Amino acid sequence: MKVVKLDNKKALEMSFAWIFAIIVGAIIIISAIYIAGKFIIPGGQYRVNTETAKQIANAFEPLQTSVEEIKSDSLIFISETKLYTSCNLNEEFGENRFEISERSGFNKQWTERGGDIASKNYVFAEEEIETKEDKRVYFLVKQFKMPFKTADVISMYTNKYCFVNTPESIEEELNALNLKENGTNIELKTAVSSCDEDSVKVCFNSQGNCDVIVSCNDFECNNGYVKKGSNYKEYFSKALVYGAIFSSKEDYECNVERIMKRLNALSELYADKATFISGKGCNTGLNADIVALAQLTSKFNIKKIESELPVIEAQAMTIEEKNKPENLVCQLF
Amino acid sequence: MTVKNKIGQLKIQQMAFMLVAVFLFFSLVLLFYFKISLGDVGKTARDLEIQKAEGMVEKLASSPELIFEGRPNSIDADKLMVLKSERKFKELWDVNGIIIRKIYPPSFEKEVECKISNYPDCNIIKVFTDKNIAPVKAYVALCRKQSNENGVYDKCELAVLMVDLNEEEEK
Repeated sequence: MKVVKLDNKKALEMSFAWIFAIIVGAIIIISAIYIAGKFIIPGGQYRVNTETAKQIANAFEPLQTSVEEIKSDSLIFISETKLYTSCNLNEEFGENRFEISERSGFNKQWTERGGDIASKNYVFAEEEIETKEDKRVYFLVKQFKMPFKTADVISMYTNKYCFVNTPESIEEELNALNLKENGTNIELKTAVSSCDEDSVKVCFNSQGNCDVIVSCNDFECNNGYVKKGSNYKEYFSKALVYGAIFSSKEDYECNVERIMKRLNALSELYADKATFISGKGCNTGLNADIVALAQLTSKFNIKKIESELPVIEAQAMTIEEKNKPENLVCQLF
Repeated sequence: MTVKNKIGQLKIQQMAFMLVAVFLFFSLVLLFYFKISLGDVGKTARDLEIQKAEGMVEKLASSPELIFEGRPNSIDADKLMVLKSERKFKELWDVNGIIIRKIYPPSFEKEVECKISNYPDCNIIKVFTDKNIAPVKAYVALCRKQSNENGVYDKCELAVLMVDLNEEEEK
């Protein structure tokens, strides 16, 4: 039988000073890490939010259309995210700016917004959008042509949208996107009652319990008005219908002004090109019309959109007609 | 009594030294972490800029200012020649410059920059830059209006489109 020596228990002897040093040391270190994480480490959550905003701005670049008139895409976030969009007319062409805030930490609080990142694209969105359960942000991109491709109208949203009584032309182009597979988060219905409870109801040429009412001026809905709430009513033309549906009033008006500035610059470029190629035996005869379009767009005033945009549209249609292969041997665009 | 006090003072000193040592050790660890973290910020910024530039090349090839009659991946050489003097588009694309080099069919043994005086008998178009080469590139068709005895037709050649990033972004 083994005899256990009771006076040797192999216990670790530790003085009060050591215990005190370990406890106080641990408190100091934890505090230091917390303070560093919160205030000293460059960025912290601010940095993460800024990086995310930059990645979103980068994601817009390959979203541009080329052969296709319309396309859709979506981005998935790891955590719940709020996106803040603003628009300004700074410099020659203006810009959109984006900020991000994510839910983070033990108590899932909204973190401070990251730095705002600029993009020269035309992003139509509400000022603040928040990801839902699917943590996705959706993009619907449509070419804006007047008469040549001028810009891509990028609609950005997180809500589910329900389009009711959609005109055939819009229904066809949305169906071509294969709504369910591409995950546009838009459903097409014939009655408001068929829409999901939590969806934003967009009604075409009809009233009722709708969040957005689109009144089309013609069968193909090439132009008309979008009405949201009691005091938001905007005139749209062509691809701008999506911009008006998905964006705030301020963002819509600012981006339309930016597109008109771009159209003005492009008109001047095409006028110069017409002169340049006429020296190579390619006389388009479109110079005067293009110059007229440039003049109309240079004077564009968003407050008079209802009267000025249709005039620009009519001038663009004239140029488009004259530039058709059956009417012009050497086309300009 | 005096001996007991001395032992107490010694233990307090030990504890103080220990606290200082532990604190210094973890301060060094934190400093090391900051250094890595700061280096990472720079790398992330560069990665994001490269990501942007790669997207930018795709975008430029189909941008309204460069596209040739709505054909995908086709650049309008005539528009480019006009654009050379339009500085406002530099701000729109947020680039330092664009370089387009004809590669097929091979036309000249050496580099001939396109100017109004020699166009289209040249093989490199530089827009807003004097550089000959840039890191981010894509292959495109470079098209223009050309005329012969039968009339005007569209002539397209294979070219490489290069984007010169803004200098401050390259740093």
